[in-house]
Amino acid sequence: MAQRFPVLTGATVSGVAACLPLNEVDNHIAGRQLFGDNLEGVLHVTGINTRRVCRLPATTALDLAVNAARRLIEAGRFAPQDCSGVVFVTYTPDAWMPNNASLAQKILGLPESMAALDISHACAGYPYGLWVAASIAVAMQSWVLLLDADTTSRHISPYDRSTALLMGDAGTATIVTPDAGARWRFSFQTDGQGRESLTIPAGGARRPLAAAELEYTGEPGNRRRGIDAAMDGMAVFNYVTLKVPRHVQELLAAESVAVAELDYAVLHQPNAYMLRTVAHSIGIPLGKVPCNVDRFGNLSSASIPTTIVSELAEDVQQRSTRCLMSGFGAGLSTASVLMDLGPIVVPELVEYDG
Amino acid sequence: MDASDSQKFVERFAEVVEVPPELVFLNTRFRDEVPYWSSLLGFGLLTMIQMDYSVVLPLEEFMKAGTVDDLRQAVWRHQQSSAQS
Repeated sequence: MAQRFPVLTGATVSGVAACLPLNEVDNHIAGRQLFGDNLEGVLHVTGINTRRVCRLPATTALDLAVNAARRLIEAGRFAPQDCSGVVFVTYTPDAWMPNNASLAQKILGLPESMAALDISHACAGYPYGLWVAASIAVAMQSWVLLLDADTTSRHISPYDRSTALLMGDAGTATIVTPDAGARWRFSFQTDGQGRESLTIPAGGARRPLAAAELEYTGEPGNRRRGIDAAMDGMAVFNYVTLKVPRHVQELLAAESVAVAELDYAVLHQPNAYMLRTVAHSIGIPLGKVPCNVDRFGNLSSASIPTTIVSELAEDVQQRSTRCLMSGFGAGLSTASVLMDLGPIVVPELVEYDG
Repeated sequence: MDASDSQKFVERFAEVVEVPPELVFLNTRFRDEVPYWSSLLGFGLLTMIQMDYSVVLPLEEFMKAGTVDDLRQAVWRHQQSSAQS
């Protein structure tokens, strides 16, 4: 019978870095036309006051991720020639081929004798990236670079109330190294039945890019292009609040860890209200649930590593913390991991003017 | 369903919309009177109703409810009809 809560031993996180666009969008101004008098109510509940969004159309997730990686490799003095793999979690790659990981290998001057692969995932992506990166690190007995980045803003309609004021762009880098004493416990959940609830419908092979996909269509307040993210907010909310808390509680139970024993639950942050609702349902106090969605927006799968950098750096640089990480969203899917995090290298947040 | 069930519904309602319970009453017109009302809070209420009362309230019925009591009655109706069937 399949192991529902797979254990992975022999690898640990040694460093995390994040790079955000310097450009900040003020939702209190950006949302005036779309929401009118309801704007402040909406922002109060989502809690997203500002978002970091790439300024230049040519800036990609790869640019943000390699900037984070450079800073991390330098700060931790990781020897590039010893890198055994690059894993890149993104749904906004530079091109259909080759993958972003191969591009990152070249840009960062990493050795040719390495594994390089992308993982296509949205908000649940970071634990998946850790799982694959750790598997490579254990097998190859050398450090692996996990890049997790998205420029979601490229796929957001400014005329769609359900998504316009939520998303931000970010790039992150995590270094996973072999460590004989480390033990991680994972849990994954997938509900492909809900795939239409959160999707970028056009631009892939099933609905190829065509001129019509670049036109804004739909009712006022609900207008977007075929290449923009379309979200059934109620369906996603329902999935997250009904499924995620139990998923997390079952993972904790499998590892015999009480909520009170956790130092942090680093959860994906779709918005502040959903974060509070999930934390409350798990039964974990908000003081243990770090949050940056108020300033940076929903950063998709990069939200967990960015939160480690912006909210936990001081603590995890100093000591080992019992940490739960959980990402959830498009798929619909959830991925979680329980680990000891720290002491690790965390360079100051990198800002990118592009 | 008695008064204590109604009171419990009001308390859960207040918790979900993040308003002190003493400020919510059965006759509260929540779309006008809950500070910072937004559709996200509506999603929160629908999910609470599903979790606590095992009722999947259709969106149209939720939109028709003007007061907390309208919502409570809709939930009670669904519970009774499912108990009978």
